[in-house]
Amino acid sequence: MIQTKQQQDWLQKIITQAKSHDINCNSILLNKIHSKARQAVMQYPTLTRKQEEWRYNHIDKLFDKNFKLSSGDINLHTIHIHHYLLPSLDTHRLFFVNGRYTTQWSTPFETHDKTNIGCLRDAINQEPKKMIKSISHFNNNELFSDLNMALMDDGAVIHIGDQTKIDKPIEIIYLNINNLNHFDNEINDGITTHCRNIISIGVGSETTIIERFIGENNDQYFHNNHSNIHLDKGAKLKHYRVQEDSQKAFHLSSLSISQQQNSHYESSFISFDSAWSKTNINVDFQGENASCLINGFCVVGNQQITDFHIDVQHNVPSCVSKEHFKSIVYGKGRSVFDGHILVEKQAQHSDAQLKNNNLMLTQDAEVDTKPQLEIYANDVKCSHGTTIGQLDPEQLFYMRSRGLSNTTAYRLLCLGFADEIIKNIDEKKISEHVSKKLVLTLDKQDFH
Amino acid sequence: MLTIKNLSVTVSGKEILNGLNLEVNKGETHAIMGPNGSGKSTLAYTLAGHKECVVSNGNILLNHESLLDLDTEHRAHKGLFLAMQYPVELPGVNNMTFMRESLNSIRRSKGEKEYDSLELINLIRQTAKQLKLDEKLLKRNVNEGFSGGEKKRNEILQMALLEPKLAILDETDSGLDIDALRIIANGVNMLRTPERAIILITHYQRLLDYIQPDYVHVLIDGKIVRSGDKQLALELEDKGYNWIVDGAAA
Ligand SMILES: Nc1ncnc2c1ncn2[C@@H]1O[C@H](COP(=O)(O)OP(=O)(O)O)[C@@H](O)[C@H]1O
Ligand SMILES: [Mg+2]
Repeated sequence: MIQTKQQQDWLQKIITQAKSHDINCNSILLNKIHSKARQAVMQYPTLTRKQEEWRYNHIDKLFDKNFKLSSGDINLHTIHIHHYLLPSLDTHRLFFVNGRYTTQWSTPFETHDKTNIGCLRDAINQEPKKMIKSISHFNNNELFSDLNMALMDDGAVIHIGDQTKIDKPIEIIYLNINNLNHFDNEINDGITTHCRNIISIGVGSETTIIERFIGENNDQYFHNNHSNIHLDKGAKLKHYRVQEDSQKAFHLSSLSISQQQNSHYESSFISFDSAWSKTNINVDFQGENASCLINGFCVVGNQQITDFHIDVQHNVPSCVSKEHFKSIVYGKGRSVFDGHILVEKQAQHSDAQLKNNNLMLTQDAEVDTKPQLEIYANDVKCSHGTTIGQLDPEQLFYMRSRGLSNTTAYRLLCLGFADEIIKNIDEKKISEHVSKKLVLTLDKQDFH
Repeated sequence: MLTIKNLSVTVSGKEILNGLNLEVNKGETHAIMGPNGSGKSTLAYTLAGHKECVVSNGNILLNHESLLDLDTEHRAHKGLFLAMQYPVELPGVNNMTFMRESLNSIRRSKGEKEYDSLELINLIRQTAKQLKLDEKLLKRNVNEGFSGGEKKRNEILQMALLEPKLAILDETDSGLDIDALRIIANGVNMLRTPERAIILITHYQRLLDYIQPDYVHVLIDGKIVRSGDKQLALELEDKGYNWIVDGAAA
């Protein structure tokens, strides 16, 4: 009962704030969507540790916090933009600060009739009916997706027309910083921001999307990010996602990916930092011969929890899904992996592979992994494998006998472990950035 | 250069070395021979500071300084090198990167300038060529998927690069065909200088045809039971270890 009240109060508080912000919103259609989702949010059963979904990654940690909804009325003058950009990474950039698109640091695109890359607010203003129609189609089915819908006022909209190739990667940066909002002096635990991204890749088109999540070092905030991604026939999307939130951040991402015939989705989910992080990835094959290749790598340190839930649904024949997630866990860090693959009866000739490898650097680290294959078709190729291991003392001895310090030996072995995932990132600037970040993170630790 | 005094070592609570003495001067090459399980590798590991080898008695001095309190990497910085009987595979760690890190960490510890990468690549390539080590192996992960002989040559390559004061080679000859043995022996002979000491651990005398030792020691049951010159190795080859065991008992 206490939990029920806590959840209801927490949601109610944020929604009340949202309502006061809505004064600035003049879209009646959007208001309708908001209010429907706001009602839905309050109808969800109480989330508890007893539910499998929240068994390891405790939801009460989030509900214990008193987050304040960012209003979008923010002061950008104190931001040093060059801290956040990767030098010489040439992209079409969409830059969000505290959930709101900022034209100032976004790089403009050539928008032509078939292709539109921009932000949700603009898209709703320009084509209200079309946008609202596509938004109301989304089936949320989950408290935080509905919450995202209930609060969304911005996000990325990427619509690539048919037979189109975008010349450079599209980069989306989400920067979250406290103290930019003109809040009254009310005590709170940091801001909460909610972005809704709508991405569709047209027939035979090819694109690369890079997403980066960034926060100020000691800030605590809650970022809730939801993407609906659709790949039309023969479309190809490469998707690189690097989470480098603040150490104290709460991060929740949900991705619903639907794939038409012959489409190919390839992604790398990289995660560092954040105190509490959960990513839900849902792939729904809707046409034959589609394929997805989803890689992930996370480093989970002391007092951190990183949680990946993957759900792949083979509904039609002859699709290929390959997931490979790796984690390095140290201190009292905790890594949770839940991979579920469903192969329906009619989905013959499916090829589904799921791999999860974990490296624990310290005794206190924890890994909870649960790969599940649920197969109803009889002519399929499916496999899964999980490993949990430690660094081999003989390897460390060998390296140290060649003069390497313990720290360097750890670094090389961890980089070696991560390399299998990182090398799949085709954007060199991103893979280098990830390796560098891994080295920095490990070199800060004292392994003995 | 190396003084081992009355050394006793236990592994997993079992005494493997008991009261071992050995003196090695610079410029000398010593062979240590002995039957399987007599403690040869344990001695090598103990010198390199393996944590499983617990020194229960005695001391090891390298240039008059005790090694016992030094971590493995610090012993390497002082000039000790161990070519292992079973070189370890390092998945995901590039051989060239590994050698660069290793060489530079040793140079740093001596206060010397680090190599720039071009200099280093050339040096490594050149040395690999002398050891007839396929250049492709430099780009692969350390020892991963290497044949037995390639692993051993990779060890000698590292030894040549790191220029140790004291090199210990543990059964570097085992599993090698005669051509590979010659190449390795050539590599080792090139590294014999008046400043460097070498300990060759082997249980066949075959290697000693190619690398002529100044002294030969016989290790049995964790103790050096007999020392002599090259002649001793030939005698052992002829009569077997039992000859010494029986002799020692008598
Ligand atoms: N990790 C270990 N735990 C327990 N006993 C060991 C271990 N390693 C070696 N030994 C034992 O130590 C003895 C000496 O082994 P080793 O030094 O490898 O001999 P050698 O190299 O002369 O063949 C053997 O009896 C072996 O069984
Ligand atoms: Mg041995």
